[in-house]
Amino acid sequence: MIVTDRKSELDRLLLTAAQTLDLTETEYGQAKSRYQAVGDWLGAAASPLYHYNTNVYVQGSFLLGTCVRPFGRKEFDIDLVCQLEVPDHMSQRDVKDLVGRRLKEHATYRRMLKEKNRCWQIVYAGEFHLDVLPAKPDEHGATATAVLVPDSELSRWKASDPKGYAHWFAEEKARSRYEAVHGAGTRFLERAGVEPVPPKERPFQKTPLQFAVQLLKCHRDIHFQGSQNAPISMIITTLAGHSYEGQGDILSTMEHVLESMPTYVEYENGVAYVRNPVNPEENFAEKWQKHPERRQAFDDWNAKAISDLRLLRESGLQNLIDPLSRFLGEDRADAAYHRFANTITEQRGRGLMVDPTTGLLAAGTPWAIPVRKNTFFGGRV
Amino acid sequence: MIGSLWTRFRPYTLARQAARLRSVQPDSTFKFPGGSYLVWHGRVQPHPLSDTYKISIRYRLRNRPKVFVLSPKLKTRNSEPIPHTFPDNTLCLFRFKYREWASRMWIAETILPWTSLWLYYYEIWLATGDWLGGGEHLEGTRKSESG
Repeated sequence: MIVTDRKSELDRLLLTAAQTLDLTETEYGQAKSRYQAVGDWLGAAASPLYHYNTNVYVQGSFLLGTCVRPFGRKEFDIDLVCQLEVPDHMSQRDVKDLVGRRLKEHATYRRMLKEKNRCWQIVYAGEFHLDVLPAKPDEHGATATAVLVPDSELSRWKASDPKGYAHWFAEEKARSRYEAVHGAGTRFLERAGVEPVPPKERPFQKTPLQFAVQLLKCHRDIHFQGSQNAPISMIITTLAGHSYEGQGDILSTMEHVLESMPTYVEYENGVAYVRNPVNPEENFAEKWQKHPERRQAFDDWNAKAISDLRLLRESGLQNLIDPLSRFLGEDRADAAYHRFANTITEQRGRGLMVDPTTGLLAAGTPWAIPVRKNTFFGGRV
Repeated sequence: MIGSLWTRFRPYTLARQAARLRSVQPDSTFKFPGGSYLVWHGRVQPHPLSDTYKISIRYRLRNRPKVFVLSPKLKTRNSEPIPHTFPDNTLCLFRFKYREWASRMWIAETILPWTSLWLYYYEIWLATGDWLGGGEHLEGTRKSESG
């Protein structure tokens, strides 16, 4: 690692920060095997669901690469879609029950199962919440991936398109590699109808947009402290996707996205719209009509995030933990700061260079010289 | 034979140390007060996110080179003493016992980089209260330091 300038160091700090929000390699491996086992169980030949051409896949932030480690509890939320080609006469309740019955046939899942409004939740204590949302293909949908899912009252079918959305986010905006990821390794799972989760994206595979969205969502969580007024993740993710213009670093991405994002909220007859880019019928800001204070709360949060980011940008090693904690919370900010600072320590005795003309450590200038081994000795304890 | 050994272990003169320091930082200044020791003034910024410090190195031949931080002034943290500093507020950078420094070494290639490293850890200490730079202390004393 070579240190060059202020801007790239701030970016390295933000990268380290965003990584504290992500799943670890181990957690990712666990999530993947849990998810695949559930998918296999639902789609197995012996399953009553088998006849409905079951297809189980991940949706939401886990698929988008924008998940945020929750505060206060260990479990990540992972959303699965269980897509079934069920006949029209089956109601939302019927389809949900069908999935629930199959899950209850499993000795282990039965004990971990929680019924939610429109999905089934499998609770792996200390690990994950796997939410299994039943769905059926939407033949009248705009894309081949369009589905219908029950609404929260189980009273009607609602249009959705998580795959289409992920495609929009990844391909069009983040210029990510989801397409390639989806293509690889799918075949051996095809029979079970289970699609593999995207391999955990390494920092270099993830785009600045994804890191920026993670940090903004976490800033929102801290800012709102559980208040209902918080903008939902889909609003932040969608507006960020619209705003992103291919900036190559996290800091510029966050700055640009925060400044532009309010301009992508559309207004028609006084109603605010944050449309689903793959399904314009769906308004992610639907609830703002009933709760106008939420729109104001969004603007306030946006302004706060802009000023916190400015503060971070103007801070130095001595005082950036405070602005950083506004994006991460105190514990994570402290952890990220230490990890960031330690990259220089790790190079000591292993070829740490210094530019003697400026004193810059880990310098990459041609006239940089090695820092010889030393022991800070003496002084007040 | 004896002559060449002498050349090999003879300390670098104050003038040569000064010239070397000046060659890495051409804007720096130095003087030899009374001809007996070297005072060098230069600048160090350990990291792009840290302050730029004006420092002074004071060196009497064969003695420990003393590093003073002139500006910005070193700060204490919640009135804790600054780690690895001597009572005269100079920096504890190395241990003689481990032969980390000798007068046959260039200050510009040892003391100067270590000062940068020290200042880096100092700023992190200001932020966190943790000294991440490692090091050793004389046991059972808070006053008598060496090296």
